[in-house]
Amino acid sequence: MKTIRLMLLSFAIALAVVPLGCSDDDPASTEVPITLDAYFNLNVDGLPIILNNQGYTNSSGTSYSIKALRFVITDVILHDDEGNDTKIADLHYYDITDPSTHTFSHTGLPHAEWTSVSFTFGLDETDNVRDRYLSRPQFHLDMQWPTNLGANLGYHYMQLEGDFGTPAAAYTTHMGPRQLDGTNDDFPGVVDDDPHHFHFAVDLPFTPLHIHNEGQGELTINFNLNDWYQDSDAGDGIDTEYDFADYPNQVIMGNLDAQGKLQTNGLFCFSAELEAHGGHH
Amino acid sequence: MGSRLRFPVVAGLRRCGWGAGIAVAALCIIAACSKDEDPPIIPPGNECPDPTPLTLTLPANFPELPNPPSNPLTVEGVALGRRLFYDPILSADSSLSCGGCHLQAHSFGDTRPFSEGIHGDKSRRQAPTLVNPAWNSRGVFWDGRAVDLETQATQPVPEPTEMSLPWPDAVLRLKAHPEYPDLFCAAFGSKDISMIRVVKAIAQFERTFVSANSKYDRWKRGEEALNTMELRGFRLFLREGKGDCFHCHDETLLATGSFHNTGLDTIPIDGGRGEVTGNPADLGKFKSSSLRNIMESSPYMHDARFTSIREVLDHYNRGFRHGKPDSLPADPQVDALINKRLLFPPMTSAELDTLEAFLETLTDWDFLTNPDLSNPFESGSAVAKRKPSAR
Repeated sequence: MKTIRLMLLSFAIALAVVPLGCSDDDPASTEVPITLDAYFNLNVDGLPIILNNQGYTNSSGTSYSIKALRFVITDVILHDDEGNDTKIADLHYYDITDPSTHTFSHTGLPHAEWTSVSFTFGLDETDNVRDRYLSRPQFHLDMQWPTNLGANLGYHYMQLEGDFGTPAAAYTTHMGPRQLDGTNDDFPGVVDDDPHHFHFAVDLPFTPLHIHNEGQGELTINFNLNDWYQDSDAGDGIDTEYDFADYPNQVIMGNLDAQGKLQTNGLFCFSAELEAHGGHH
Repeated sequence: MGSRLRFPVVAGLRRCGWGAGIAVAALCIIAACSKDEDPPIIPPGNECPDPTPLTLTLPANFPELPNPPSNPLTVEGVALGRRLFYDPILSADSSLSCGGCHLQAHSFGDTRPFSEGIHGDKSRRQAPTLVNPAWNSRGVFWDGRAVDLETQATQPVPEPTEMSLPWPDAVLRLKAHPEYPDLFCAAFGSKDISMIRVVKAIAQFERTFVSANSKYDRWKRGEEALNTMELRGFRLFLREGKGDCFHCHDETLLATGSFHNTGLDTIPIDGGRGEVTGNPADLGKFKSSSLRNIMESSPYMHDARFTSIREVLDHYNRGFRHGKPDSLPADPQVDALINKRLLFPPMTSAELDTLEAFLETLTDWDFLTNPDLSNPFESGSAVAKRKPSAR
């Protein structure tokens, strides 16, 4: 008897929690959060990246190779058509030699009509603080900013390296902030009262897309490295064309002119696409 | 993927409420009718205490210690690993241990250019130092071929040119030993001994090799001052247009652990990282090792070609040109950070002196003589001699 009562009680509980019939009339209660995978499509004017190959040409007509590329983006946010934001990454560190850094994923993306993605290239003033990312050991070690360019500043935004020109010479396009204290003899006697920051915000619209249940989102961030060196906004009267030979000794980490050009040109390096796989549109 | 795994019940109910409801009810019935699970049976004589978690105290400016969840640090695990590290039982003729080639007083490197195995074979590359090895996130060995410390420890024991003892034989020896079964019991919760547990214990011990109390560290903490020479050397170390050492030897661990072709050979004799990845761009690349205790760990480089730190500095200054003119073109295989030096004058002898003075400040005598890292089979075995302060 006791067993029968227990069985009936179980059945009753089950019925109490189960919606009757099969109905799709209330989509909000049946929506399954989406998994989004993000990828980077690195290229040089559409050409794939092949390391140590001096086969690329910038807008100044200078040939160059790529031997190393590391960069960081922060506050990566997906935006929908109703003004809602979903952060999909606090910080993503990319190293071209480390495939584990070439993608990142976000689970639990809510349903929405997605319209754009934004991020900060580099780290902003709040984040770019010395020793802030000790919880990210490899990023911290690889991208640490030297104390002689800012005792309280934290990290590089980017390290892009290779050879250029004929005869071939090395270039190191390293981006980051600066606050000199007079002790760096690459800039003799220069003292910065306030730090100079060269990170920038990127906002990339794409064709609006609603990823439906059982679908998976794929975000592609296209990154054209050649655009670092091109004045993409020539009509504004400010020349930001960057050729390697403009800085003969390639000591550009604290060079405000070089960093400023890269900051301006970098805005044009990126585009994005959002696709869905599976599910239905 | 995550969403599917998280909400299977919701998905099922959506399709057909009645059918799912009956299924859920059935599950409830089964649960109501089932008996309690029997408690686990512990074989007699196999009760081992839980190991004691161990948390290392790190300086505030050190990055987090990478520690795999599959091998958490414990007091007993580290103690077992220390014993195994120094025990020649893991070599075929019981003459050689890990500590035989990784000498604490030498920053856990070897004084010899190439280590010798039990049959007299010389190693292909110099035994790397083991300074802060827990942070080898890019891989262990000069070429990074071992993904972590555990994997690295699997290789020397059976290697014929090193300890030459197949793992099954090593495990049998340990099982037959009067003490090791109990030590494994304390470290891992059972007396079972396996290769996996041996290398886990050794890796735990190696993760405690933390060097963080050199004069440089004390200066960074504001506890001690660098003298004028040392400070000048540090500034050259950081200058992008001079030493530019920090890009491969960061200011915290003095080693990023990344791989670089520093122009050691015009045509790489040893493929290095390229032999692991198969990528031509990686030929001749080797891991940048830590500069901590560098003055106590000669010879230098993967093939021990330099016996003095001055030779190393000369190499980076212009030696990487191998006698070629001090002008372009740069070697396409060599790192841009090295080739860039051709664009500004080489450092003077006086400047190299200051760099050496700075490198001296990276010696951590506490690490080199720490009794907790020393050979437990030899009393007073931490024999690094502390040099009197030269400046």
